[in-house]
Amino acid sequence: MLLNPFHLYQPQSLNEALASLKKHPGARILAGGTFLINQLKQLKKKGLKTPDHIISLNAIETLKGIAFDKKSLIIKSMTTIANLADSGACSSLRKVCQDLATTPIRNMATVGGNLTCRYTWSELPALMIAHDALFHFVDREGAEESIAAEEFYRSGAKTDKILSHVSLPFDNVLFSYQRVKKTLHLDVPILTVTIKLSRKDNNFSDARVVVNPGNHFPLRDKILESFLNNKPANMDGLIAKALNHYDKDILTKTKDEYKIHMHGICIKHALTEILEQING
Amino acid sequence: MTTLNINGKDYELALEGHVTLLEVLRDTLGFTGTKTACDEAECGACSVIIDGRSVLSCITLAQDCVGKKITTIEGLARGEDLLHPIQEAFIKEAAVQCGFCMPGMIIATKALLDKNPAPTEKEIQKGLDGNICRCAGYPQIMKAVKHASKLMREDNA
Repeated sequence: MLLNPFHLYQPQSLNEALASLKKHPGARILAGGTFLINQLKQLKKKGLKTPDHIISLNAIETLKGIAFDKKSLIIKSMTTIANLADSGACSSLRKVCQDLATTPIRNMATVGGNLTCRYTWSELPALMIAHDALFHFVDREGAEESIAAEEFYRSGAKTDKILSHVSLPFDNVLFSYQRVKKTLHLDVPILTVTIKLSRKDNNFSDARVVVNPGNHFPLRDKILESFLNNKPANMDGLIAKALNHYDKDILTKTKDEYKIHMHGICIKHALTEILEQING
Repeated sequence: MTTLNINGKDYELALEGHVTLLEVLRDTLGFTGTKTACDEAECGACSVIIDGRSVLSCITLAQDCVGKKITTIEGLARGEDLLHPIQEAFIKEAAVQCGFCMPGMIIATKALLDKNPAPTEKEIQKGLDGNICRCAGYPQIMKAVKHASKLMREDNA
């Protein structure tokens, strides 16, 4: 057997899932399985303890899908990365999802799993922080709680609740996502830089710059955000000046010279891409 | 009892929750075309198609496949003596070396061509990016996918 035995619960609704979680508080939640099942295999190989109860969310149809609600995009937690990539929603998310991992992994992995797996190199957290997304959880008693993505990761991304959906403002924004990978295109990134900007008159506003150094949850670069806000999009030497105004400390601590070097390169490429979006 | 639909046929099975689809296919039902290789969801040798999409059966729980249509490599041939165009193409283009990756490659190709009948080279690379060939037969595999695409479009014309 590839896995140690466990009781598998297959609730047909979120309420059933919560009831199972209440009855078995130590149960692990199974979404797409791309993280958890591999983890269980590794634990078995090492002779370590594995959970006795697994609650699969795969049969809960109400946790799947993408919808619009007034000014928000709603992404249900069991939506697969592939479905998000193929959807007509939010071009920035679509573009990133299209190149995330490999084809079969995208077909199986879920948005909720990617956001709550606690692997620091998973890619969707940085995007959610950049888009100021809200995460909507439900606890065992059925109580709902919403938390901003940034706050969720700042507090360690631990939860004993079920993520039902995320909501993000549906804005017309300028966006760029840069990934650095060491070898193959399908490796997990060692560094990502996300820049999201709005425009008011001709100036940038609502800047969000999110850096994921791979070994830590994503962090906002408030120095670069502050520099970019209220700058005209056609400012002379914008990129060169921006490269003197970003938070180098985010990566200096890693002492990884390649990442430190690529941090600046990513910012340059991201801003170049954004300016190209403006200039058509 | 659990019912799984595999290659168009329903199978009634007594399954435990922790059993993967790969184990059911190979050990319970004898569909050994789907391979156990890396066991870490990295190589694609365990690929099957579920509801039109290629997935990795080594990290899929069998019980989670109830109500879904599962296609394995055994389900592609169109009869005892009639291969699927993809299988024909892979043979004609000498894409098969040791053969171990082939079921997964062909399944991934089927999923790709069903969704995108005339993929570009870049789209083929992406569609098969979850399948590794240790014989490094990629140039021939690329030719085979293009050939298969042509044959399938002729079939459907």
